[in-house]
Amino acid sequence: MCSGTTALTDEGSFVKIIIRILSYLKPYKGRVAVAYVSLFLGLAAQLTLPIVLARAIDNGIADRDLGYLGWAAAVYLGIAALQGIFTFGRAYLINALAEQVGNDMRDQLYAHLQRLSFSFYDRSQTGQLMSRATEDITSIRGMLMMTLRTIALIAGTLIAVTVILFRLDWVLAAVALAVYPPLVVFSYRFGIGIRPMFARVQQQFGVMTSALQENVAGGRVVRAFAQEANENQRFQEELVELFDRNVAAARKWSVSYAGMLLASGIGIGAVVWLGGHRVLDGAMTVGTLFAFNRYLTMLAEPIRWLGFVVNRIARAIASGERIFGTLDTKPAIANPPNAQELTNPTGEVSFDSVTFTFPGTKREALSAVSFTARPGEKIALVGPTGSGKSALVGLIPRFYDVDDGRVIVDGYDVRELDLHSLRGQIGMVMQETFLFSETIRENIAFGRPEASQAEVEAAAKAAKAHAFISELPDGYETVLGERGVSLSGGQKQRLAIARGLLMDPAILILDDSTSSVDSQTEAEIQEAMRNLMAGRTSIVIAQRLDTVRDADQILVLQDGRITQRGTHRELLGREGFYRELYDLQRSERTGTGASLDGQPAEAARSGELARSPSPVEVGTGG
Amino acid sequence: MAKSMQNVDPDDLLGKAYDGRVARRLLSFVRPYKRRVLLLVLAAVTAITCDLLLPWLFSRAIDEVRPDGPRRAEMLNLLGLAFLGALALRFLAMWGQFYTTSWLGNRVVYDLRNTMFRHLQTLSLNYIDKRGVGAIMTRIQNDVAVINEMFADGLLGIFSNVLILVGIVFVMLLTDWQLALLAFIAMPIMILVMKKWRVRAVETYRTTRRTISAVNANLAESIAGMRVMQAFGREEGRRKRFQALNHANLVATVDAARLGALLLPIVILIGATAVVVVLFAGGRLVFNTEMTLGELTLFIVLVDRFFEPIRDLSQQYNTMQASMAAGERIFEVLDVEPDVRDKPDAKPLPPIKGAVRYDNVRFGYGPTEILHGINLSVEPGETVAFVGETGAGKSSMINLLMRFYDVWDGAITIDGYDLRDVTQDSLRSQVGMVLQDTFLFGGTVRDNIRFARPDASDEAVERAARDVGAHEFISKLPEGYDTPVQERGLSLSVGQRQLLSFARALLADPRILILDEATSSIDTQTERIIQVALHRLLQGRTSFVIAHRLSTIREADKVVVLDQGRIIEQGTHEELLAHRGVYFQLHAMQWRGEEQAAD
Repeated sequence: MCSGTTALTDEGSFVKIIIRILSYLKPYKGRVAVAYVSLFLGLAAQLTLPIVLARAIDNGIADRDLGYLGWAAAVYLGIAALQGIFTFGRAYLINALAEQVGNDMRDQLYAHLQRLSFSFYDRSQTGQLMSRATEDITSIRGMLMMTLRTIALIAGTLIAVTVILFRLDWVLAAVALAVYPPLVVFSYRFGIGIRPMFARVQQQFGVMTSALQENVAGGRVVRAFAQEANENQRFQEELVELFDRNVAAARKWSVSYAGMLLASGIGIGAVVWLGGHRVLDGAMTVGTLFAFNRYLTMLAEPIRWLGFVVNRIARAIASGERIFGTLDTKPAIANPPNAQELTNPTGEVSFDSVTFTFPGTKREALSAVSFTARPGEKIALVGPTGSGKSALVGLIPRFYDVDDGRVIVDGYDVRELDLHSLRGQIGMVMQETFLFSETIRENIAFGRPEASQAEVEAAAKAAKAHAFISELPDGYETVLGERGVSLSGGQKQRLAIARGLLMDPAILILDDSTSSVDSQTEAEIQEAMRNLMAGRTSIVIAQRLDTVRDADQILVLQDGRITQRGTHRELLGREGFYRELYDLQRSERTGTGASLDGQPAEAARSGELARSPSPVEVGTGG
Repeated sequence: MAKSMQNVDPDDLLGKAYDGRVARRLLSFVRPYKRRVLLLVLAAVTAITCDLLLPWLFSRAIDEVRPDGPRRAEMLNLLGLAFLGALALRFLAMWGQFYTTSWLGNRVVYDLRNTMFRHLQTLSLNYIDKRGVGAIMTRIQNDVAVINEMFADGLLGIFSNVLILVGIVFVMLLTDWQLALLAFIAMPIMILVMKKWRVRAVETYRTTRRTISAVNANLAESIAGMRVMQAFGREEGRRKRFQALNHANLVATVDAARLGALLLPIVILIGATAVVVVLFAGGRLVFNTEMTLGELTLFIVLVDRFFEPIRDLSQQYNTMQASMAAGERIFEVLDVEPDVRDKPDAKPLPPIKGAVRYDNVRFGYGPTEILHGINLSVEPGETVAFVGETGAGKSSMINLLMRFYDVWDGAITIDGYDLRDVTQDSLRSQVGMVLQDTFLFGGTVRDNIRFARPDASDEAVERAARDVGAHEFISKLPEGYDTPVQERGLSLSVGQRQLLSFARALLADPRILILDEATSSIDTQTERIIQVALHRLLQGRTSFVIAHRLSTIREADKVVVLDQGRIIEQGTHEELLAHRGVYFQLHAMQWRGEEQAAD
């Protein structure tokens, strides 16, 4: 199937993209040269064969010369062997080159994706980025395989056959080849013209797919509201449209393709009739007539491919446009020139009137936020969802840049610091734990791959993860992920804590909410978190009371502003959001048990394996 | 039209190329289009006959004009005309063949997808949950696409290639059977070489597929975990790992390229050998006038064409293997029996008042019984709150009421009608359901609200939205009710999505409402709006709620405490508290737990 729907934009960018794709061949000039030498030698051998046959017919058979015939046969076999060798050479080299280019592009894309910053990933979908590296590269690779060969073969065959035929018999050549110029033009036009029809098919395929996806994913709703009949109807309409578009494309290409075969046949027909007459007139030999037939057959094959080549190129250009679009995206965050290394920081973090808006959005996520966390202090962030807590913590490791003001770590504006050394000093444990499909050991040592087994185990013990890890079949060497063991939310969280601990960061950023775990596990996680925070500057997105209670500073965020600050006791003593929230929770606690973030506590406390927690589990758990 | 193998799973390549059972069922999808198939076969036979006629006419022309031939000009003109006629006929036949093949393939794909989709609607959610959305999508998308390839490339290709081989052999045998047999000496070698080559090719092909999926898996994970990678500064280590995988793939694909290229000289050499054999042996026959020069050229042309179809057949063999495997997966889906079927004499459920009775209901999934004899009676308009641990049977209670499953024993009745005696459609159109995870469909906010009543007026939609308190945020959206919900940049919060699903349910206005309360985080303000909306939604209809909010439980007419598939207590919140039983304990423990956290 075709990918993408981008039409050929304009000639200029068309050529530019082709040149840029071809520039990937530059490091392999030597191999390209050998490939083309092979290609033309193979072609030359192939073009010699009809002459050998013609000679065998005219001199061997017509003159009844068995010796000559034997020689001709041997020469034919020898030349065919050469053709075989050179054909192998060019096929192997060209295909290997195309693979190499695809491989290089993929490496380059990967390295570039690593440099792009969080704001890029906020607006991109994983699936789309994946298709850059899969479908788009496949389409470019396929195009190279086909065009590197075919265009040279078409040009070479066309020129050589024309020259040879004109030298053999220019009258017959002129007539027989007359169909080819229009055929080449038609074939090229066909390739261009069929492209939008395939694009339409592809587009409708996408529509059909999303209709299907929705129906399957939303199956519960469809059934709950008894909408099966409507859904059947809707899906069928998309299918009919897909069918119609496919058949419309088939209507066009079937007649064109058959027509191209007809046109190349007419050239051979001319040879039969006119060539026959010229033999009768004594103007040419039977052998030459046969050679004419062979050459025209040879010519028909690559020309037939021309339409597909054009179509392939159009697709590859659309793919190239997308790949280069990604490659040309400048990282929003880059290391500054003369970057300062952050070594042995004390862990002081301060915000100096920071204003920040997430790229691509309009509303300010943070407005003039200022605070200072002294080394070793614990700062609790409190506020409703969307109040700017995540934005605030994302600015410290410089995942985003501020619009105004400064984020200062150990006296340096983070924009002056070497990114690696800054992030190396910050440990993060967030609510959504992402683990890689590697061993548990590798996951814990993710930030410090050189850590010893003893260090890894020590971190796991402090994170209360050692016990469950030891119970796994392969212990620390257990592979996680799709093909490996899957862990519960609470177990993942403890691994993330161990991962953060092993980094031994000066600054810690933590989301203290525990995803659905039982109360025993929860207590363990809380203890692990306390271990983690000890002796470091910690900035905690606080969801629980005990975190807030012993914080050195509580910052209440509302709509991107700090509306209240102080300790638990201080804030309780004042009118305001904090006390309201506290009171609201106390009054509702009997039922909803909403925690500080308005999240019902039972969600966080139900059994570890629970899927749909209910209030009752709160009791049984506690 | 492209001969692509991209839908072919490498693991399919060692399977059977023909499985009678699967093939027969696949062919049953073609049966309705017998006339087209007939047309197709006719076109293919005509095209191939013309294909063989053309070189024959040419050889006749050579014999006409060769030095010792009859050399009749008018005969040559006739041959030229015949050549033109054969060309024209071949053009028509090929056109018809290409078009009909594409039509048939797409038509079968259409029928298969339609059948699968319709069948899917009758299956229980259990099936979708067990299989996963992705796996089901793959069946309907990719496996069906492989079937299209089978028709376009596999079946027709095999038919054409076999036909042309038979045609060539036939013409050659007819012309000179001894020389023909001599020419075919090369054939067993070709077949032997192809067989050997195939085994290695399949192996190499698998390696390339394995290495590329390792590359893609790593890439997908890297993109998903890019933030973590950057936060921990592990770009370099991960990049090296990726490059190693990518390089392994390069090595494998280059291997495959070499193997693929190897086939070319083999075919060229074997073909050339056959030509040379024919040239030498045939030349001697021409000396002895046992054969004409024209016949010899015909031999050379045909021998030269002989080996290409054999090469193609190897490719088509792969396609057939892959389609048998795909067909098997397709029928596996089609063969899943729906858990619940309408009885042949099922009647539509008349408009109901909403009195629900569970009468000694027993039920389970698979072999284990989940509900052990449930008795429950609910009056029209009552609100029932189900409370209990995960696995206590709350979800089963509502799944049975929606008749997603049938009871094992006992009965559920609505207004006295046994659910098994009425049509599912009529039941579900009167029983509404609001789920924990709000699923929004593509399309606008308005489309989503009127999902259950596509004919609802704009006013009705807005009224429903106002009633649940969703109007305010909807009118603030860029295009109000016409804002597409899946537009990038527009992210509705969990609370807003819930309000939309409430509006959807309110507009459907079911007599019985089932509500699975969400537990996801919602900020305090939205929480209040939702409580009001809930109250409005439950009013005036029989409602069953899997309750998570105390406010909901308090307002319920009946709290039903489930434990391990039995109802252990029921009554109002106050009654149950006064009863000082299980509910009291659960409630107290929760309360105390919170109290401790606060101090």
